[in-house]
Amino acid sequence: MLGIYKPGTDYGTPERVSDKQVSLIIDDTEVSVPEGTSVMRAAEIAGISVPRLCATDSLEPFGSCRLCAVEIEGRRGTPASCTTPAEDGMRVTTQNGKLAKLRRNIMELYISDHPLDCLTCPSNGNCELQDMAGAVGLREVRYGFDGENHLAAEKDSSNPYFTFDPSKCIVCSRCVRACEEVQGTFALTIEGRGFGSKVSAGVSGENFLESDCVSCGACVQACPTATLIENEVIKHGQPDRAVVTTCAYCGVGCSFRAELKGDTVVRMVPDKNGQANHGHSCVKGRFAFGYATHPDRVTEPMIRDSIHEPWKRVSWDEAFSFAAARLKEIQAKYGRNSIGGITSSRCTNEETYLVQKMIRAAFGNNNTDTCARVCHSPTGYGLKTTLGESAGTQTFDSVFKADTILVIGANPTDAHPVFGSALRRRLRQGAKLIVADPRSIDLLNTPHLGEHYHLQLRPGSNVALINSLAHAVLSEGLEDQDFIGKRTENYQQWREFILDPVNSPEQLEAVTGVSADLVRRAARAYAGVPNGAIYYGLGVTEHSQGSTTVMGIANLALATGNIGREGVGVNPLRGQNNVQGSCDMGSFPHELPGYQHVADDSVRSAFEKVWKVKLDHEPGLRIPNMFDAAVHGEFRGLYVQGEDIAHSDPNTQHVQAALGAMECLIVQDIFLNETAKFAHVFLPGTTFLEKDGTFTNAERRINRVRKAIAPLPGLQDWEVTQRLSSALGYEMNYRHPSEIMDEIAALTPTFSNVSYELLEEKGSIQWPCNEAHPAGSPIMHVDDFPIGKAHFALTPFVPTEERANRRFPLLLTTGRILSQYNVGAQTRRTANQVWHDEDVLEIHPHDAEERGIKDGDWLGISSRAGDTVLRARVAERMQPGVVYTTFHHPFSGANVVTTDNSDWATNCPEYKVTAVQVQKVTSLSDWQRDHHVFSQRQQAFLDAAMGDEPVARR
Amino acid sequence: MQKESHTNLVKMVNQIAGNVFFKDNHDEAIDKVATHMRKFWAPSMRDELFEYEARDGHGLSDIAREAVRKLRRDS
Repeated sequence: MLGIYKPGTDYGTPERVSDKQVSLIIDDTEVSVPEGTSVMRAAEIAGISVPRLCATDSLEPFGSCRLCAVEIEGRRGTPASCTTPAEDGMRVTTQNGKLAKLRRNIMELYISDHPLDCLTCPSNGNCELQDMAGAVGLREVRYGFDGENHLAAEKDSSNPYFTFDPSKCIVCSRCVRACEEVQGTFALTIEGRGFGSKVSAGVSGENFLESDCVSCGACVQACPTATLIENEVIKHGQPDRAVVTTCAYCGVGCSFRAELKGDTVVRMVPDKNGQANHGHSCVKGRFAFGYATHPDRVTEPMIRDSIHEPWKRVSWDEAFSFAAARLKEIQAKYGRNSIGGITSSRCTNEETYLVQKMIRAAFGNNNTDTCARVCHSPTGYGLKTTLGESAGTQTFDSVFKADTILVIGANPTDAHPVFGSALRRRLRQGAKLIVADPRSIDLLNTPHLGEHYHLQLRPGSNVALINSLAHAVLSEGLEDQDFIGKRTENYQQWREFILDPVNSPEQLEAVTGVSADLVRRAARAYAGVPNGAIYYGLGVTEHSQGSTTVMGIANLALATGNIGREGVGVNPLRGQNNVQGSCDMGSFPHELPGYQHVADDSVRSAFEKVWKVKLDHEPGLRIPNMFDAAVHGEFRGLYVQGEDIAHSDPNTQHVQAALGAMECLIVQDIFLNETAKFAHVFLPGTTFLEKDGTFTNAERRINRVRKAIAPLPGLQDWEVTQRLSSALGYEMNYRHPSEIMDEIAALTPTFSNVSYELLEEKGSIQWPCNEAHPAGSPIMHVDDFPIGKAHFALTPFVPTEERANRRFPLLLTTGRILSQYNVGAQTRRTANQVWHDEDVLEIHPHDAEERGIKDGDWLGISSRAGDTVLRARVAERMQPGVVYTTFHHPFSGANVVTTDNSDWATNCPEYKVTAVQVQKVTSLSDWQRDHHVFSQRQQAFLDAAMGDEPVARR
Repeated sequence: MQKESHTNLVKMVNQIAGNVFFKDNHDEAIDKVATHMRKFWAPSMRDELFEYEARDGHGLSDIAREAVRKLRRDS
């Protein structure tokens, strides 16, 4: 028997929500459904499957194939069950001789123009056309196969992940509709008419790769035949088992079915039961998983005495002994606080919890920090100060009730693509859009976008803009007095501050570059609707006033009463998969899990009791403080799990100096990354496919990560930390991550009801999940705030010290693109390289012309921190005076240029504002040349250790 | 050239002071800066600033200097 894996029931048409139920009888079975439900869906709910080809429950009904025809008592003809709404008292017949004949005739026509190569077709055994031919009892094709047909149509293999074979296409339009309705890109269309109709990517003559297609995979998933199919399925055949898990890319936290054949992951299919993504995906999560088995994987522990020596492969025991001895020596020599560690937003909650626990309990200090330091630490500070909790307030689905959506410093269609698609869907439904961004982001190009405003502010002027928006709201009487009176404090002081003329749009337009009139119209658009929602990203946090902007955003939401229900709220879009979780798990040096301050005696006492160790009551060093202390000789040992600080952190040369000063750098990662080139101990890590645990996404949703394949190094990451801790003399003996979660729940008030059992039962849980909220909290602050009343914080605009001048006349801002992820360690080792194989510098045509720059020219970019060289891309989406690049490739050295300026409250680096000069050059920068030599040498040290063996072994 | 170890700390405390000081909240601003350092800074950073302020203190803003003194007194 063939073990073809079949996903769950397809109800044919989407779910409808209604207060009113209607009852009908289908083939003698009575069924009650919400009003608006299709007859097809009602039948499926009743256990009666109506044949269909163009219908699937992720798409609105289309009614083109006619295979789902039914008879309805009292109605003429045979209506399509997919487009016919169920009505009270309706009597439906789905099966009789007449319908059977009609369906056979339809199938006969389809099959007469379809290659009969089922046995060699990649969809064999998992093809809806094949299933329907069987379901309708097709036994002959009377038309023959010699007539006009599409059987010779050429395949399009341009996309690296899937193939389009038009000879198998039945023109059901499911792919076209998926591209429109689910993804919102509108890249596909049906070209031609009648028999000549065919699916086309973009304008005639373009292939998939050349078109606007963003490779989200929605079309592939929607295709009922093998017309659009994953290349991996063509290569390996149909999967035979599946494991439901959570994507390890961005903070949307999509649920996927990892579909496998034996131990080979054949494909990742977005899970339609996923509560964050509802069956949608992006190019990264859907296709870019090949890095997990890339030959660059290092799967054995390695040690060396000096970074100028080759690596030596050793056993796990030897690696742990070596690392522990080194760390102890350093502490004996330089003191207890001379070592620390960094947790990862890419790792699970359980792994992160263990790392900070090991640092606090085994290292004996609070020198723990996380990569959230360099992205969303201002969110933690700003939201805790104003709303009382360091987290976003909504579910992603909340956007479907928003009337105006304000997006500040975020680029969701690139960085959070699945949420970007949801947002676009809401915009197509008529929601208003306000974008505050120095660049013209793709969201502004949303097809069928209605009323919208682009506040194209100058980099570094976020606080001025937020204050001027708040001034407009108050000065025009748009505030929600009732909400303010009942649920907030410090309003009068804030009101006086904001209404000071220095905060008026008219005064601040010289600072922001946004006209006062536009600011006032945007303020009315946000405050003048029932539901205004704010979404923000690193364009808010990565500034010298990142925390102030976060507080300003919260103030704006509070003043307009846009907190505490669906459709509103303050929504930080988290960059990496587990930024929220890594912060929740006590990674910051001043907070134990659950954002509980280390100076709180009762909190510390609870942890000391369970951990059986005395804890330090003083905050530890943050990442930039660790670097400073290392450079000055006071900090000598660092354990880094799943982060590449040598690549991601600003002022690379300073970071390299700090890492170079370490006497013991332990890196736990899946690849020998840039940081590992400075390491003395390499502990091989595991990908999300190889371990159990949980991730928490940007909507506070805790999702299970489930092991799909055995860990390549033999140990999962939590086991590695546990054994290192034991080697240091602090024993840990967890048998499964569920036991770690039980401990987290026991010590973290917002997690007290969370357990793996509850996660299995509910699929996912949004914290707080405790006695007050036993099933979790989709929307926060519904009745009250953790601090009682929300606090209006004063937010004076203090310009950054980083300003353009004659020497550095342009402002550089950095960000991300769709196909690559963070430092690119994962995506650079996939076919996503097709779309972005190097970082480029985007520059406005005016600035380019002034410097004689053309597309593709080599440009030297200089700042007061350093120099690098990138190719030019002249781009209209930039504003004059502002240039932009990404940091996905280490060689580009984007962070050689960024400075060590940082947020006043949290030290989050100011990646978004660097004064630079740009000019044409003919050779690489000194740093790039040195880096190339250093990297080649380190690679040789790795190669020497590995000999001829392939590195990634299965 | 390597910066002196207190340089960043001076910049950081001045930044905090600049963000919490308004026209008429001098004493409150000093409290806020001191509290911020106590709550978020490692003791080694505070000690270094105490020492620098006592030795020289050049470059510290008025609010920052008073906050450092207050924190040292209260420690």
